Amino acid sequence: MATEGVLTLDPRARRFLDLVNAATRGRSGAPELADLRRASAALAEFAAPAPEVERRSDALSNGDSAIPVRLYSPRGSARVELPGLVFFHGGGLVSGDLDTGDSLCAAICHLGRCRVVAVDYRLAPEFRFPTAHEDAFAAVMAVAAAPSRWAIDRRRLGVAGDSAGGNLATSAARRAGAAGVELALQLLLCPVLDPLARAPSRRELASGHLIEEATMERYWELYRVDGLAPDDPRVAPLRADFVGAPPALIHTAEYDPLRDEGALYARALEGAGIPVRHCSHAGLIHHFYALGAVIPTAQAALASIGAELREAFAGDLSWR
Amino acid sequence: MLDHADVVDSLIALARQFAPGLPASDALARSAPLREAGLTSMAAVRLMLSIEAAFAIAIPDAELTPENFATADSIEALIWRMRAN
Repeated sequence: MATEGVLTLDPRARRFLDLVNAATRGRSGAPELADLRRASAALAEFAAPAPEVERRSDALSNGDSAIPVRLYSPRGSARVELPGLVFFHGGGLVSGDLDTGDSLCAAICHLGRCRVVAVDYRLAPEFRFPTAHEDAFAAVMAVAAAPSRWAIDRRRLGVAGDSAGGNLATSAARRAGAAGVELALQLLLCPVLDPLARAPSRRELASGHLIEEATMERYWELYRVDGLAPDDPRVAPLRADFVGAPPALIHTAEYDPLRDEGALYARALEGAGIPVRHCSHAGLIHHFYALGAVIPTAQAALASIGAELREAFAGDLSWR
Repeated sequence: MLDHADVVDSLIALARQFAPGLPASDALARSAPLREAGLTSMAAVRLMLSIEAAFAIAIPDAELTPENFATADSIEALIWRMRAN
């Protein structure tokens, strides 16, 4: 059988999906909120062991609300100004926290030789739209206004996010840019960009690929408010104008239902004249960057993301 | 060489890690439904992977059924089936 050039699911990723699908089979009904949150926490156990970095708890504010953050620094870098990323974890804006994003943040910090400010934005349905987006924007503006507090080099400050956190990251960066606060880059890992799920991969891979379309719909129902259109540019970055958007590093996975919206976003930014590097990771699945303990090639993919980030911060990336 | 008691002891210990609501008595825990004892789907994945590692078996896809992972007893039966092959 000729397989050259034909992309297939990584065998370890397939095995992982088989296990997840077997474990999910026979469970009836839509998952409860508590189940979604437990699943988020449990999923974090499949990340490769986090590299040794320094962590510090801190807080930012959005109006009267304190937003906890966790600062990650490479070991022994206390007094040096470094590039920095304001990071937003995934989980549908409904689940996840600083702990579920911890190993990914540590890896990005270590591999990218940068500081990471991970933001514990408020979750739905306790806090619906626009709370998460407002917390994200406030966090980016606060770090940009006082970079020395974090020993971050202001000229090399960017945002990052995975899954729904990618939506927060890119939305906050665009808003900041439009307000005259320019950022160096945005790193988006398997981002959620279209609440209407129009791209073909959302249907082709709707079930059995770690993130179920039914779960995506539930996330949206828990975050939305009456009167908010699902293609409102504040929640659908694909529908936004790209004025003020920073250069983008976009990573999608071939067997991720979110694959196509990430690729469409890369093309749309490029079309608007924004420098973009887009990598579609062959054979991998949603959340691959935090599944290194069960999918060895995912660990290599994460290392390549870190190397790209380091080059981008060093300014020697040839943006295409 | 694994004997029956070794398998049961290690298996119950593993199951307790992922299904915290199992009865304290091992005898009762063996036949208690794992899902009702708090085994979430992601924990079930970790349990399956731990079992493969602990008992040096590879569970084929056809055996990844809810029935095989319903209780510690059903998992034990699966382990002996796999090791017999």
